[in-house]
Amino acid sequence: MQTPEMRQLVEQFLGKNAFAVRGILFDKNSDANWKVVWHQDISIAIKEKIETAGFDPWTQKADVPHLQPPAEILERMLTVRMHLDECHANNGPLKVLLGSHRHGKLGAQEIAQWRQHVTETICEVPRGGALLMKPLLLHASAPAATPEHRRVIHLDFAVQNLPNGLQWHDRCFLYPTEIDI
Amino acid sequence: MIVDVDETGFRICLHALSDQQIKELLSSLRLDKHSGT
Repeated sequence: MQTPEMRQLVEQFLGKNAFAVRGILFDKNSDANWKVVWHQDISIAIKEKIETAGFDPWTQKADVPHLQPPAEILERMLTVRMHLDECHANNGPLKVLLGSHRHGKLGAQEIAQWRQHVTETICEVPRGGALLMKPLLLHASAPAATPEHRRVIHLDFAVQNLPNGLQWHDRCFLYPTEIDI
Repeated sequence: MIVDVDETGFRICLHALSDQQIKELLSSLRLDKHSGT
């Protein structure tokens, strides 16, 4: 996390006090192959459930409470997907609809309209490459057509505290201590 | 760097990890059984 490469990727958008709030390793392969429909990443992991206006609904994933914050929180987040394998058109790459992140949280009807009017962009990324993405960007992926690994480390970054005592489930800073800027 | 994150919502950086860094990551990571994009 605290590598020059990661700092360079994240700092330019969120500044030096950014911190990772969630990390997931995805391995799409012949034994674990899946399709994901068009969606935005609108849930965040929280330490403890505290009812807060505008922060709902709540869900539970792998024993961790999650909620959907207002769009303003999501707009100040950044996802970094580190590719440990080459990701090409045949092994389930991410597809995105450019510009869709600038319109807040979208309902099913709005998502359908975006799909109808915007051509999808396929994100082919080489091994060792990174995909930076706004969580509100509409994205999807198809199952891999080839039996090979497509391993991705998915990291969500934020830069602001949450209100009303809510706490991010994890906070892993880019630097050992907060920096005055 | 081929496109702008704020404008389009995404950017692809071609060289973020070296082969050695990838090997170190793979030896230390645990795979969670979650599905996702």
